[in-house]
Amino acid sequence: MSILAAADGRDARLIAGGQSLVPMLSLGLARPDVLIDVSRLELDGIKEVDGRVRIGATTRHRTLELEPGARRLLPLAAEAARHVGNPRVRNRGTFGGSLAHADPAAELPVVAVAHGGDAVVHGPAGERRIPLEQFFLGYLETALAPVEVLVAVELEQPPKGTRVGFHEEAQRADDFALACAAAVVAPDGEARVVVGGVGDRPLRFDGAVDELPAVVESAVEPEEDAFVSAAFRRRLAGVCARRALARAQEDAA
Amino acid sequence: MILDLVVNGRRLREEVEPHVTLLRFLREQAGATEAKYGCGEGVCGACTVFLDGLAVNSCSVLAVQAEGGRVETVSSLADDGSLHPLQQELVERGAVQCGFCTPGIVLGSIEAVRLGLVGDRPTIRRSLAGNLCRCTGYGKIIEAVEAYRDREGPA
Repeated sequence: MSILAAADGRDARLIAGGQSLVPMLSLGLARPDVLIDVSRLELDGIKEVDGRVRIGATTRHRTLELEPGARRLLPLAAEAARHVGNPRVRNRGTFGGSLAHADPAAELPVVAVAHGGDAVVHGPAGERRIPLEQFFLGYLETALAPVEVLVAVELEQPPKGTRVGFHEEAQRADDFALACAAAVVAPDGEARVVVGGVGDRPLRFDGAVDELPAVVESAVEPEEDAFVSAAFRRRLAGVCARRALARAQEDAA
Repeated sequence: MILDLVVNGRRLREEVEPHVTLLRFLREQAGATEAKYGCGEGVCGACTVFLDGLAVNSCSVLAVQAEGGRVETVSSLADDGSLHPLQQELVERGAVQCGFCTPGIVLGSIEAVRLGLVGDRPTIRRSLAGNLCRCTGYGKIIEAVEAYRDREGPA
């Protein structure tokens, strides 16, 4: 399958939920020659495959947020999805779209890196897998080749007894994250934190629960923007890490 | 391309450019000006409509993506001339001033109540977080949604 190759050299974009792309079109930030709507390809759905959870690319945020089966399998994604846009954005926006768009402030790429696993990608040469650790290359940039299509993501599942938490700080409810963090705490106390919004991609840190917030705060190198200073964002990264870890420790597992 | 869809129970077949948003189609080609153009980027909620039963920002959906679909605007709620119970609650509490955000508040809150997401005050605030109102300060809107929730049964 290579529906993008059919565009024959013209600037083609896939559209699914369109919750990033349509505003970008309206604002003149994207001007593709061709749009290919994949939202009806039945690429959605969540299922367990060999100890992993496979999320179809067009699975909507609202499914992750509200559907009981999805919440049970992916509690971290459920918690994070609640922060994406607003309810109407979540009714349309898709998991694959969020990952392929790769906004550094987006929540679901943070969740994907926190789980680990593979992006399942189709291109002219067939299917290949990209480890999620290597998927995000920078601001709005992924390891997808121009003619490749993200069809699903397979997330590793942490061992039984692992607890998870998510925390986000934004200027207004449902606004873009100034910083967010996903925390995964293993039964033996080893922890992982992935922070978003404070670099050009999700940033992962492993270590002890008590030490991670300080590690995060000293390691990130956010830039200042029109809203907050770099120093404030750095501080916020540590705060989000600490609060996400605290939430994980309250998690019933 | 030719777009074939149903708007408020009325089937339409209209020529539409691929880049035209559902909001622009509704306002300029379907006569449905009750869907409001606010921010144009999916943040303010003024353009909310139901597409196949789900609340969406019609500014952030291409009209061609609604092909074969069923669109309902706020007008579909009161087509016999009587207000929907939530609209009635909003009017009685003075929760409508300029009214620009009201169609989105009404449709979004109906969905939130239907999904059982409206419980205590913080959950009402959460469910309204993506609907910007620049007049009322939200207090009366929250009271109206709470009263409507009580009529429909608690979450």
